Amino acid sequence: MKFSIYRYDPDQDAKPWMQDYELPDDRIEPGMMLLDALLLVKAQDQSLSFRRSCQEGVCGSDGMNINGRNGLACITPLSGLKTPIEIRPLPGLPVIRDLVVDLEPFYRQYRTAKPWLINDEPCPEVERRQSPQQREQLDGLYECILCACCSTSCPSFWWNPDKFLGPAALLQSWRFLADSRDQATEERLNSLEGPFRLFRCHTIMNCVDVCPKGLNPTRAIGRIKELMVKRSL
Amino acid sequence: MSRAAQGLRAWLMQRFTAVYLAVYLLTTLALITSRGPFTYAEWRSWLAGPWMSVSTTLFALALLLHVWVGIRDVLIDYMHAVWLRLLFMAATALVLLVSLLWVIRALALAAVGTG
Repeated sequence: MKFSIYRYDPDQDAKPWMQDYELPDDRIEPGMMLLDALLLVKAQDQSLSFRRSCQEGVCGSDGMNINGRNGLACITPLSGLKTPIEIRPLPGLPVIRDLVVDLEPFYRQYRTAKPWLINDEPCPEVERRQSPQQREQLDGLYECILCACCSTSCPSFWWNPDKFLGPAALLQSWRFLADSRDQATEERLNSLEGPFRLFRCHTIMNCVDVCPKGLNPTRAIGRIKELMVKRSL
Repeated sequence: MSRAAQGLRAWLMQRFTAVYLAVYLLTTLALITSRGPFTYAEWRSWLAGPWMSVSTTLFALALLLHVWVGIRDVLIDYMHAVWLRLLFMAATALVLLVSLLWVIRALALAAVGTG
């Protein structure tokens, strides 16, 4: 099985280049995931760098661009991929080395969304309770693992990563706007106004297309806009 | 311009004008295909009628506003040098304003029957 993998070491290389690798077919087992193959490639060439941790689609470390599409290597079956498999780092972020990107611009936008509960009431003696219906509002929002596949597939995030929050952070914005225990609705909506933070989204929906957890940031963004309209009326 | 006008209002304007453009285009297309073919004189008196002249003026206005939001979006997306962006936005606004005046003139001339 053939691979073509993006290589770049800023200390040595003037510019990025693609390196071909080949794994003997007898090393490929049925049901193997791309990450398993990458680990075999790394055994051939120790200098190849990529991030991985849990190996089962929970931690979100091994987001990469696989045959032109962002995804998690650990839950991408080898059998469904056209060869030679072309692997590149997540697009739109600075490359630290090979497939390892600097996620700081992504995290910065995540922080902008204030992804924590804001509630100034005195702490109750028990939990802040929600009805099952209120809790249901958070389904499809809290499951995000911050793998950055969505934001780095979003053209609006490519052009304005410093100003546009991107789908991942906006999903979190809505996650807290939709939370019955959160009291900072006004403040959150105010911070999303203006042409950049929210409104660079043009409903391209690459985020929905690539999300390895099957989440829908575009719908969340739509709900934020809806809430803004309701508020302004 | 307030911050609200830059985000939500532009987005809403784009949505509302899009709906109006679609309704106008489909209705006039249906009218033209069901009533036509027109002679030039029929065409002009049809356009000069109160319904058509008002809805066409609104159509032109909606189209120009829609174009404005769209071009502004493209410029905000891709043109990061602020002065260059302002220059292009001003040029776009100028072209759109002149177009609006031209449409109003054309419709007025059709109405008074001297165009």
